Amino acid sequence: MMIPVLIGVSFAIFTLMYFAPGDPADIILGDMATEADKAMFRKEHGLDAPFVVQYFYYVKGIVTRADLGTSYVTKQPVTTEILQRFPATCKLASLSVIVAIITGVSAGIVSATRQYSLLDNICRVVSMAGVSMPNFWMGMMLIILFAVVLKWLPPSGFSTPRHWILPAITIGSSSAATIMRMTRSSMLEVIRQDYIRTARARGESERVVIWNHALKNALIPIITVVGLSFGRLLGGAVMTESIFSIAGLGKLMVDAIKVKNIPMIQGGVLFIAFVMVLLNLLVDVLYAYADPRIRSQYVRPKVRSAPESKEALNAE
Amino acid sequence: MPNNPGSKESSKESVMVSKRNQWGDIAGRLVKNQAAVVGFVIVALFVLCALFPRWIAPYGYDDQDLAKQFVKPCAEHLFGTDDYGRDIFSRVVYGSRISLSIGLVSISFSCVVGVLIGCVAGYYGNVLDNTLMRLMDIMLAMPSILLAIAIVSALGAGLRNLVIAIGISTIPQYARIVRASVLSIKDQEFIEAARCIGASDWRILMRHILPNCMAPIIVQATMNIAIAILSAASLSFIGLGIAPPTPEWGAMLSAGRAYLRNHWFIVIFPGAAIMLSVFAFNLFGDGLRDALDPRLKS
Amino acid sequence: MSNRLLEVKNLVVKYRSGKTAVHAVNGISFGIRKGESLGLVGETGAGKTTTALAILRLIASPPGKIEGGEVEYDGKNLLELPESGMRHIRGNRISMIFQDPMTSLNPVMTVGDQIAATIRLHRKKSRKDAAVEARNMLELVGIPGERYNEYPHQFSGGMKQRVMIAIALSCNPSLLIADEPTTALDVTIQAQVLDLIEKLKREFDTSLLLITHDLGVVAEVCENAAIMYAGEIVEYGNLRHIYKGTLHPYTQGLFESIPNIDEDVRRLKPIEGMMADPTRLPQGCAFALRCPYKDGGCEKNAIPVFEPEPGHLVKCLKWSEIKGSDRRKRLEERRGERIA
Repeated sequence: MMIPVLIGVSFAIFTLMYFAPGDPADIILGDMATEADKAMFRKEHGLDAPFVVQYFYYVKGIVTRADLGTSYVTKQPVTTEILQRFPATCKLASLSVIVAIITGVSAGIVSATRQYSLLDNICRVVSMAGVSMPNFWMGMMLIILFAVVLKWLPPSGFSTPRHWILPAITIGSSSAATIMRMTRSSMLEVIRQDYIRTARARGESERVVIWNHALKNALIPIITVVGLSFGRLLGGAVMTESIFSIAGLGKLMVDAIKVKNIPMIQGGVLFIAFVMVLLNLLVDVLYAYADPRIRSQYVRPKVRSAPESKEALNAE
Repeated sequence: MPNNPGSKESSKESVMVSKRNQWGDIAGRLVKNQAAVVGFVIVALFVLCALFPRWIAPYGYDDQDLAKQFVKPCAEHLFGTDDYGRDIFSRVVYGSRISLSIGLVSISFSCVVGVLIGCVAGYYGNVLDNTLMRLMDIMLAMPSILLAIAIVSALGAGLRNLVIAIGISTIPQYARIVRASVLSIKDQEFIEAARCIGASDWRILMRHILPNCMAPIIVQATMNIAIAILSAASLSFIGLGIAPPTPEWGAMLSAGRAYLRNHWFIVIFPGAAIMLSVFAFNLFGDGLRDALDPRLKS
Repeated sequence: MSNRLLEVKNLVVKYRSGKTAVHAVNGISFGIRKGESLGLVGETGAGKTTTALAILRLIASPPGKIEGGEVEYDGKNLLELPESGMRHIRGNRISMIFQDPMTSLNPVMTVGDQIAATIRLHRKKSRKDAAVEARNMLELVGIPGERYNEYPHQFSGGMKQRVMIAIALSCNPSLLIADEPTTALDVTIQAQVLDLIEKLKREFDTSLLLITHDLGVVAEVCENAAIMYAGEIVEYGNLRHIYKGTLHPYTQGLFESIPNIDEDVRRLKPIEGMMADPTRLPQGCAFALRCPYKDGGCEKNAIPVFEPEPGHLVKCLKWSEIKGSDRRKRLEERRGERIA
């Protein structure tokens, strides 16, 4: 499933860029360029070949040399530039995911266990607001509050942990809201199940019932949302990085879009699609970890192992 | 929901028990839901702003007064003025027209296309289904905002291209929902009955299947208007949307960014407008979902 | 009284939603001696499960609330115990088996761990010891110990109910509440599970509160039976009282709706009418609407409890009339051989 999707994405984005109005040669070389210069440029970048041939070479380059083409602007390989920028974005996205999971899941649980209470209502309104807030605006508001007014945190850059806080909150907040909503509804459903009553009837404390029994069962939809929101976070990073002047993948792409640096845009989109596909794979693996019913679909020949205390049993 | 002429399809009637009553019930449940009512009222206010900006806004959206740059919010200028001395409140009011129309047009576009794809895929199945849904998978493999960015950057900035990009990027969601509903409905007996009396495929789809999956479509569309407004603002913010001086909220934010440090009001109000409108559509959509089908709560 | 293990007095439970309140349990009283088996019988909605959950204080609140009464266990009123003290009772002193084994086990924990968790919760035992004990419990209920590490979805319904029984009995409780333990199972499995409960009950010397709508099950397992209708116990007695000396018209109706192989009857005789609306219970007898014996007196005031013979309680004004009726004789003849 991975490979066809990636081929599809590459074809779609390639076609889109190929038929886009405007000749890259005109845009990159500017008005001063002569016809000869433009012809040179086209030849250099293989733009004079027919569509199918260009696409074939593009894919061949990716498959054989991980080559996404050459940036029109810096003349550097696109792959190199992306890999240079990706760590920052990856770090940012991971941090935000952590922020989102911690706040989202705990708020969701609190909300679900006290359904219709004041706290629940507050959580729900705040989360709805979080979903509705444009990322970049939230970033600006945080800068105004924490960097300009209170002067607690630096407004831009990404060098020290102090710099990480605002961007991570900015990007994480909308995902936190989604995760919270999913956690809440999923927990509400699980809490009503019979096995939760069984756990209570066995004398388990409320804390164990909620955090152990209920949460484990509510995990599947939560994992799905976390997986999906990681992708959204990458999208959010595109917007947010430029606000905080973080030299990440997002800023790279925004800059590329402004000058119509086509290989860069293509490469970036394809790279993000690749990361998303990998993430989906990871989510599938996590499903199996979270739910034995799914696990047993993959592991056909069951390993029937006795409890760890077999020796103790024999000793009796 | 269209009424069926004649009583030939009696089994269908039994599935959709007394429609009038049903819609009455839905309206009743919606009115009882305070959050949904709040959402609806806010949406209505924005719609008023969009329809009659001339009457509501005290100034034109491009009335420049360089003597009055960066005026703080006061009685004369509710939200203050920007770097050209334009009244921000008036620009926000005019901006609602742009945002709402982008939302509405792009969503109608993606709704029609997505529903069509979903219907066809779900109803005919097999190869067609596979091809179409794989196509949708490919589109879903990218964050929708990124897809929109790619499309706009290919087509070029501007209102029309923005609408197309946002529209295309939300098609897969409808296609999926509709396909799932169609799959669950198409094997029911009233469809069999309709086929027995010789209804054509098109008729069955339009008259029998589609009305029965309206609920999730309506809900999705309401929520997607919210997403479309957000996307439009985001795209304009990175310079791919609507060019100044058109008062688009995202573009206003983008222009105000430079003055973030000293003149907070330039960026607060357009952003608040985005948030409030999106918030309202989300609230209303949520309420609508609960009212339309309590089982849909997700 | 001193030999009573559990004593429920005037228990009242209501479910509220908005302005309406469902009167689920309306002041019922009963007791269970040590080692006794009591069958609590009634149709769906009579308040049986609510009673059981109220004893363990497991009623979901909101909407449910215990509004009055006492649940005395071992001399303590459970309704006044703090939550931590209640947790010590649950699963340890009083255990419960639920109706639907399919949904009552946690799907993401192995069955062995679910038993071991209960043991570790109430007994100070190492992980290892608890696992060994859990394994023994599994074998005791007839499941091979090797299946310790399997998940509930790998078990059949009957097996899951066995696991539930193993969990319930793992801490050797003095009272086992079984809420329709066999309703969700196949007929062939039902007998096995009942036998198992009975056998283990004797082995562990546990008291049993068996909740069911099946009078046959009660006859097999219990010594005493209480018949519930609309949140009240309408008749209480030992098996002989209930089965041969039936005095309440509702109990009679229950017996008449059981098919009889010996008789050539075209149709079963259901009890006419529906159960009284639990949100608007009548002032007088809740069964009056469906009762063939009722007269004006039945609908006016609350019905007192009569004791026609020692240990046989009935909540009906007309019990003496019923005692002499032809209908009762017919019923008795019908069941003559069945309850020896």
